Amino acid sequence: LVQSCGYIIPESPVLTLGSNFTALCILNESCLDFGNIRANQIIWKIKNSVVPKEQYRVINRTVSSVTFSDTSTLATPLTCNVLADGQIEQNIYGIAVTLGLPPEKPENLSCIVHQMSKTKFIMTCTWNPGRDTFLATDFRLKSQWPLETLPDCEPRGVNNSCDIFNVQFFVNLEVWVEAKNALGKAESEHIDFDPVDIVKPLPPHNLAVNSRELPTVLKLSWENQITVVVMELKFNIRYRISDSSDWMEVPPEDTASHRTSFTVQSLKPYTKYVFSLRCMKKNGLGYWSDWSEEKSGVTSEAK
Amino acid sequence: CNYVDVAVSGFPEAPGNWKCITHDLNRMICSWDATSSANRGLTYKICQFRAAAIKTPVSAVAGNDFECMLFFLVSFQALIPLTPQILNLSADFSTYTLYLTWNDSGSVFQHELDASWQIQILYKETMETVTLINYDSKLTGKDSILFWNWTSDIPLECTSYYVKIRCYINELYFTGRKEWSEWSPVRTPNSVMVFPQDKVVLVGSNVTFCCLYNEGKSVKFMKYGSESYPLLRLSKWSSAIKVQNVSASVPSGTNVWCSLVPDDVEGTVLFVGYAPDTPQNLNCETRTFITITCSWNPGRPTALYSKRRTKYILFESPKYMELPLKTTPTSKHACDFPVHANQKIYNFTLSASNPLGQAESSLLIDVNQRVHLETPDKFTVSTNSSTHAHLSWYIPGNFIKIRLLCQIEISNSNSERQLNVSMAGAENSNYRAWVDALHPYGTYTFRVRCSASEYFWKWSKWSEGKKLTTLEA
Amino acid sequence: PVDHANLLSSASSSSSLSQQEVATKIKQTHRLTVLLKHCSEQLLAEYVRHQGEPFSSPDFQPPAVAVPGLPSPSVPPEPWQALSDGKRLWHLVAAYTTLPGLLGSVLRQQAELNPLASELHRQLEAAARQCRGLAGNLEGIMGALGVPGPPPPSSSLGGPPPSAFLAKMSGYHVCRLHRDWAMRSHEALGLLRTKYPL
Repeated sequence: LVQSCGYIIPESPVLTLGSNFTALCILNESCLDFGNIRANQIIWKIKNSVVPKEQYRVINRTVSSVTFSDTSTLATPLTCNVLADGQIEQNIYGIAVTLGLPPEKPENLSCIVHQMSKTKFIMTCTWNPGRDTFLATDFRLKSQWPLETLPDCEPRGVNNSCDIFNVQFFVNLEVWVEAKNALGKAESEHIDFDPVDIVKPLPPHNLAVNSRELPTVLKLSWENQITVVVMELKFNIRYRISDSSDWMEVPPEDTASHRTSFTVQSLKPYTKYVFSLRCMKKNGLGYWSDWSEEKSGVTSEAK
Repeated sequence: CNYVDVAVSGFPEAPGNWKCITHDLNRMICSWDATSSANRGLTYKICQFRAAAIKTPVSAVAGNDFECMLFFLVSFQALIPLTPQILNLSADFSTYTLYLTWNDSGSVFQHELDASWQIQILYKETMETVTLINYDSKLTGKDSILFWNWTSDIPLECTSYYVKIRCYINELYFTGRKEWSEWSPVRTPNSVMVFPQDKVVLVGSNVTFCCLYNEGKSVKFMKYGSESYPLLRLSKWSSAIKVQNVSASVPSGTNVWCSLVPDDVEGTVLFVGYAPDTPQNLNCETRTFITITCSWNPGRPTALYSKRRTKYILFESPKYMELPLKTTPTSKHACDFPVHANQKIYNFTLSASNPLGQAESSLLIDVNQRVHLETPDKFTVSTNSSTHAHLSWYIPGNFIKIRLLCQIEISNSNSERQLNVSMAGAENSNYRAWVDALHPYGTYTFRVRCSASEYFWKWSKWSEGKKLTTLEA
Repeated sequence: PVDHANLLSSASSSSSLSQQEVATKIKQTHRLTVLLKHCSEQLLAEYVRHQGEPFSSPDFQPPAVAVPGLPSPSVPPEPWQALSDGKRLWHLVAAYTTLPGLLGSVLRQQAELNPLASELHRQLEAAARQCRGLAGNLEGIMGALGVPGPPPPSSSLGGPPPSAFLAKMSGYHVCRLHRDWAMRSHEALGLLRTKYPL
């Protein structure tokens, strides 16, 4: 078994870019006599280039140190070598050096609850992960109720967002992000909210448009995809003449209450209109849904 | 908290049978015999005396000024815990085990205490003692649910069983006597009253179910699923129904239930299904020469799930092996098996078993004749001429021992042709080919698929198509 | 019983929440009981649908059975109304800290008995989560009102793996008790909400 003639400490350091760093090469006593080598013969190399001698310091006959005032110049491997019998350069030991930065404080944490189906909701939280750290950095979305810590959310393949699948309305949730790597840890601001106040509901569906006796009105009816037990809704209704691209909108104050139908008035007789609507939580907290599928209808003829 | 003698005022005779007991080390309940004629019509004052000093009455029963003709009585003080209550007693017939659950009423006391419990098991109509067990626990000042179980050496169905428990609190600082609580009311396991329990039978079977009920109960009706059946009286405490030609049950089984008077429902579940079919289309092939993947079609569904579902085991047993190697499926109906370096012939046996039966299929293969390559990946096409194109693709797997046959499809707006090219197999490698006789400045779409050359088994899937335009002439 | 007037005054002095915040918390928790009541009825219907007859027949009403560790909500309305706000909350928290463990046991049994019933599994999981959320909210309100909470519960249904029928039965009783407690909590929070308006 070939035993190495020395070693370097620290073994495989992770260093902050721009910081200073000192490594020691320590020769084994057994090699001193056998190899007739001393610490003052040590040559430090980064990859294949020799480190300027001014950065060396012989601590004693078995220990030599090298110092870097700015680790940005460092690379892997950093090796400790000697000129055996004065001619042949013999490698004593080498270390891998990892350079990087501690994580910055994640910023701009925000969350939105997407409705995926009648009963399924997914909360997506996004944040600004901060500068690249050049290191493996683990992000975790942490959350807790007032009296219960909830499981961490581990981002999949990204470092700036995470999906939480078990959303519980009407219970305040505190959420924050933790970033951790070999050089440090950082934590975002904590945000506290009731998930019911950040919902983007699915748009109303099964929209139907029916004409009436009166030639200037059309009655819309639809189904809301979020149960009234979770939230009451308000609506935006827009419509256009079928061959026009200019949308007109029903005054929001007219559709500010929970409903499943609405009669649009002041329309032109015997004219084909296209309708679409969207919804959000009645008290204005949360996000508008996407616009619903468009549906058309024709007003009856003027008598 | 000191408890000293307690005296009673009143004359002319001292009351008889005078005693004070506590259930919770917080309140003392004193009682005496006031039936003697001499003491009738008197008022009583209870005075509590601590170690050295006389203290005013702790509580006055009734009466006028305090006048204490003290009768110092050697009080019979005792700490007797409240009678415990059994919460639940159930029986697991398959393991002859009784399971007991009770509330230790720890919240009665303000601090931690050592408690001892005695659990008595009795059986037969004559309620003979089978065993008496001591069990210690720690009261924590809060109510806790305690569990305990006991295994009989004879089946629990053979006779009726009864359990009762009592409690003893070992409070070191209590100077009075400490006694066992009263025994709890006797409990008989709320055992399953309908048999057979969780039986698995074949579709079409005839099954008889019996319902056993305790004294004081009678059966209103018995149903199999939603269908009522005529009751057959077996004894004073049991009735039965016969069900013919049962059909396949839903995943959670068909309920057989017994409606009792007074108001109670007991039942069991019958799981009706099929024995496993002989596994069909058993196919074993290798994609990479690293593992062999066997897949099969299970055949008719068995209607049995969870622990009653069909379990598959793949055996590989060449002659020189004593014990067949076994492996369980990686996915629902497929199983991976390692390719051995110097083994060509594999004798596979797939066994399918569930509680109703067992079936198996076998297959003998030469692995070299069952090579089904993965889809060519990282497919690229390039050219630096007007009539040639260079193609490259990657195929995972170790094909060093065989030659590959690859088919290159070249198509453009008005023609399509296929070229076959044979090449040596490699390990996890890129493969190359080139195509000539192309038209200058022509736009072509290329794609490639491969198979084993010597023993063709299956083509791989086509690679993705790649478009190329040759240079101008 | 302590009437709510001095309960509130003692509350606001003893906790960091203002009267407005207590009222907001009560309103939020009342909305949760509305959701819980809606979901618990759906859960009971989904549960019986997967157990086969007699569970799935409308007139199946077996006698209520005590579930170890879970207090029964069958306190008649009058004495329940007569309880103080604090005592009612105490009972609710005792139930809602026990129910998640019981619903967890039912989920494990149903994963065995009905492995394909993914919607039932989802609803059982959601119900346990809702109960934990409600327990937290209620304990927050009790803390704000200065009312001591009940001891932590014992968790799941003890004892052996019951027979399939006993598993179906005990699951049925847990789901029914969950629905009954949901109705009771909805009632109680409605009452509390009128006493502590926003």
